Amino acid sequence: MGGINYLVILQVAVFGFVIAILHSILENSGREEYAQLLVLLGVIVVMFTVIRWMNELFSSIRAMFQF
Amino acid sequence: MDIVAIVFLAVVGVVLLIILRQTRPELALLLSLLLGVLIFATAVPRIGMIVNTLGSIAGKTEVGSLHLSTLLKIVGVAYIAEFGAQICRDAQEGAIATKVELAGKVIIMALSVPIVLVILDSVLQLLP
Repeated sequence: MGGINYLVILQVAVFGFVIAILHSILENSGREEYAQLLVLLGVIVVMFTVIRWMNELFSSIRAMFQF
Repeated sequence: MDIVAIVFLAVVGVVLLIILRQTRPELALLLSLLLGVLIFATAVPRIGMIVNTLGSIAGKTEVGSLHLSTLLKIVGVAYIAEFGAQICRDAQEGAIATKVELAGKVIIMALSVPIVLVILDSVLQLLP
């Protein structure tokens, strides 16, 4: 296994900041429902990334402990 | 030096988390989950060496491979259950965390039944 993938943390963090900024812009311009939808979409996208990494980790643990 | 990398990753991640938590707590939770996964994934390959050493030690003694594999399975279940429970507790969901831990304990109990049976058999053989 190579080094740690630092980039994915920065990716997710920057994605979160962008979502937060867009959310406040949309909210201030009076489009609350779009803002909520945007946050939901962002959470789903990030969740897919996290689930992929979790799957990788759990399969490596299962291989390690011979499940 | 994996530990230096892990500490750097944790520090940078925690700073980003604190900033993100004020505005978007749900994304902060996902980020902390990802951080935990990455740190854990860095530590896991080292376990392989330990497991191999344990296997070679067990090969020199009378311990059967069934017992060793059961033990390893129990350790794996404990790691995964603890990970899940900690994530749930981070999200202020203590009830779910307790249930995850309970499920882990039940599964470990079920895994250890064959070893208990072996112990019972040897005790019964000792009795006249």
